[in-house]
Amino acid sequence: MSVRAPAVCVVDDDPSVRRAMERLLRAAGFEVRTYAGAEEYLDAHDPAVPGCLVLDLTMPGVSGLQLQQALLARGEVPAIVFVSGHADAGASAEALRAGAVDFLTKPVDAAHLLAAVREAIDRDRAWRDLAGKPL
Amino acid sequence: MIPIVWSMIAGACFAVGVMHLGASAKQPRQRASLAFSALTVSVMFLAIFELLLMHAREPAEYGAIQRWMQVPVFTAVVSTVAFVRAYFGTGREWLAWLVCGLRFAALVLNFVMSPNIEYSTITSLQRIEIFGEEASAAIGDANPWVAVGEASSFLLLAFIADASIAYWRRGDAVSRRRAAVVGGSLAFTVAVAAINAILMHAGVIHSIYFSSLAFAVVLVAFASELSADVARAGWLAGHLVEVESELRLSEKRMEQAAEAAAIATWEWDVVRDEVWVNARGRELFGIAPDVRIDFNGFLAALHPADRAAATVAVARSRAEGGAFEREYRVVLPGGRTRWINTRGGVDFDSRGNSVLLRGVSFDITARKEAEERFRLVVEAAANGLIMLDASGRISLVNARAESLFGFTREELVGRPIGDLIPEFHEHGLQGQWPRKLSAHETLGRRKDGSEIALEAGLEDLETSEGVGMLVSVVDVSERKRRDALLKRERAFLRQVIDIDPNLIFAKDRLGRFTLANQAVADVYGTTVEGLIGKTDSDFNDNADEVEGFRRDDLEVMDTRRELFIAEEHITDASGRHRVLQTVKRPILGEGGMASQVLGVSTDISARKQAEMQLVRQRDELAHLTRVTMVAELSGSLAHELNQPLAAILANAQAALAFMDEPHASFAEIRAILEDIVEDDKRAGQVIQGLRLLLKKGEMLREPLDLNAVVQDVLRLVRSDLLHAGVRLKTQLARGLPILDGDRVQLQQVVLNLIVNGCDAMAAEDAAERELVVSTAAVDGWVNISVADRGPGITPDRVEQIFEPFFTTKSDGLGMGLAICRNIVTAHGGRLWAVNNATRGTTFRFTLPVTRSLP
Repeated sequence: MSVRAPAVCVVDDDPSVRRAMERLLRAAGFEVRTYAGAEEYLDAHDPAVPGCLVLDLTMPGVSGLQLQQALLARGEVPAIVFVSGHADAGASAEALRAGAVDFLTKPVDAAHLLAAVREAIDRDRAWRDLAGKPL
Repeated sequence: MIPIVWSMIAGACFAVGVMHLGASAKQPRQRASLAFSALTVSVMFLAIFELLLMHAREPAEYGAIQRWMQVPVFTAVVSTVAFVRAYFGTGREWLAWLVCGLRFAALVLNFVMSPNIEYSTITSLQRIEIFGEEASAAIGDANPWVAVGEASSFLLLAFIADASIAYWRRGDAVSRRRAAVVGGSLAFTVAVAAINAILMHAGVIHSIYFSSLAFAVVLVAFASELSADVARAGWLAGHLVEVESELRLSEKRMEQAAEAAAIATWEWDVVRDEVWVNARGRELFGIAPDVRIDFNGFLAALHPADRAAATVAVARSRAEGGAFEREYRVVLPGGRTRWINTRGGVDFDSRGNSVLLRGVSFDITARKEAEERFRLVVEAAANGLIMLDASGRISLVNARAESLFGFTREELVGRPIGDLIPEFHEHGLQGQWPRKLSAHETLGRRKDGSEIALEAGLEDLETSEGVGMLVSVVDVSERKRRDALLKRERAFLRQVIDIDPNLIFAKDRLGRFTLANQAVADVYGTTVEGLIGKTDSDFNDNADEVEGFRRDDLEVMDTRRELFIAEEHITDASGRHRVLQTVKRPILGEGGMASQVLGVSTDISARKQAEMQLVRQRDELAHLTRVTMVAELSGSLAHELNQPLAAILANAQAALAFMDEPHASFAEIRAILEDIVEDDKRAGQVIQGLRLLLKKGEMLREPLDLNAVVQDVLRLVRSDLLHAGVRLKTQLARGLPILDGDRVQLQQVVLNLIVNGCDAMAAEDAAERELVVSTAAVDGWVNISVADRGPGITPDRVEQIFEPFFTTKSDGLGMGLAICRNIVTAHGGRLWAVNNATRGTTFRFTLPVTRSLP
């Protein structure tokens, strides 16, 4: 069993949105880490830390979808909740196919977000449990 | 006694007769003397016959003597008549002939009848006593035919009386005395003789004939007359001497005066053909002092051209007599010419031949030269000059007058002026013409009958022959023709400017129209004539417009520079507002001052309206493209709006959650609320920007900072760029000059160029997708460029892309760049595209910083 508490990583280029997300998730009792972009997240990324990603779809530089692909490429199975400024059916489908937990459209209602985050954490835990057990 | 008296009378008569006969040869009144001689001789014979008659013894002897006595009676009567006629120069001719005729008839009858005309029969003789002596007297019957002789005698008496009275009436004392003495004595003699004879024949008295005795009275009378004449002749002789000496003195004085006055005196003895001339004359004619001068010598001194005329003049003077005057030239030794005036007279001999010409000559060169100069001046005058005499006939003309009327000088002189200027015929010489040579227009008639327009001036001219007139004429036909031509040209130009739809006008400094065409009249609802002298305020109630016109007019006149007024407004007579484009130019007067302004205005109301329409359409189109563009951007815009909304929602829900906790942190909640406020504002800005962009309306100019415009746009497209994976680089110059422009339209241009740039790079690798937006200030212009790293534009399409409906996009209207160029051009700027040296295309537009607002 892992002893470490799960963390919710918020990646969004908009500082205001980033701050609001952090407050909301913290208020719900999660441990929250925020990153201004995909590069910043990857730099600080520790695969050992359980939890999920709340990822902005559209960002300067590396986009949300590219970050997802990058993590998958590393052999990780990230639990990602995508948040997008506008409903983009194509992107949504791509994200979900690549294993995203949910694809939400801003503005995001707190109940939806928290539910999605909990599911994502659950999935991550389940994945880690599965991965930690010898087959 | 009787024989002695009668013999003395006969002797006296003879003596007087012989004396008068001698005098008649040399006296001027020779006929009178001759007649008087004849009379005295007749009376002498009469006296002899009377004496014989007194001594007759027989009646037959008496009758014969009486018959022969009729002969001297006849000659006495005839000579008396002749004498009276010659001496008095009076007496009726018919009466004279009648007297003589009757007396001749009596003489003829006397010799036909027997014994004579006095007695038909003499019966006897009686002796009567006369002065104490015996004398014979006839007794018989009187012949009735004696009445013929008696009639002759009475008529003679009447003739003498009539002639004497006529002579008396001549008036002077000598005439009266002569008439009384000579006429009276003759009449007395005739009367006594006649009455005596009648009484004798009638037998009233018995007497003798004493006619000769009565004639003694005549002799006495003549003696006294003769002595008076002799005394007079003596006085005359003395007087003649006196006069002659005076004459010599005056001749000498004359000579001196002539010498002093430089007058030549001369005489030409025609018979000897010798000319005498004083010293001054020789000098005058240039003839040496000791040379003998004859007529040919005189001629030789003259100018060759004057010789023939001088010869003719001399010949005429000699033929006709009287005074003559000539002017001719003398050629002096050395060739100099001198003008000389000569006047003089001709003396004739008793046979009427001219024997002597004499006169004076003097130098008139100075006067002639002055006259010649004056003549040349008159000849050379540009005006035709005509001098008229008092009767209105031409006496002098100059060359110009000849050519003007087509007559020669010879044809003109003597012609009435009315032939040349018919108005003189109508109104006479003293008509209603102004004098002092002030111009008067009239018509002239040329020799060929054609008319010429003249300007004539008159001036009264006082000459020695009365008040004449000087007429000065100028041919004004050409001027008239030019005037008419000018009038036609004016009318033509008038039509030209009236047909021009533009407003053409000129005004003076007081704003009064001095010129206007029909277009101006139409605008103000009046006529061209109605405008002249009036001002704009007389027709236009809009005080602002009138004041504006006036200000511009004065500016043009004061600065003397042309003024272009791109747009001005005028209210026409129907109250409609018209837009004019006007050029005003100063009309420079004397001294370079502008006294008037000339203006041409084009009515651009229709064009202006079309332009407005175009602007509206362009604005509509621009709006439409903006809407389209915004629609294209809607995803990006939604993102841009959703960002703050998402933050707000999250913050708000977080706050609610915090507040449920027992130890809620106010600081936390405050931070959350502050973020919410910020995000709300942010959303508001996006919406505001969008609203502006979608706003529909006319171009609105305001001072703008181009950097701010660019940033506004970038804010809108930020998420779109993110979405398209395009990196944006901005190079905004600091301190850009502010310029006037329409914010929304310029944002539209920038937005369009950015969107185009992004679209151009859509197919490129993400690494290549870079858009550079830069601004710069260059020499009064602000440049904005948007550079992409797309595939670029094929060179043949660099301009084509700005054409309407050109598009490479499946969903585009193809109006974007056309609208952009339109907007930039409307701002006075330029928009174009160039391919970059390395890669992609740069769209650049420039806008002027200072720009006068229309």
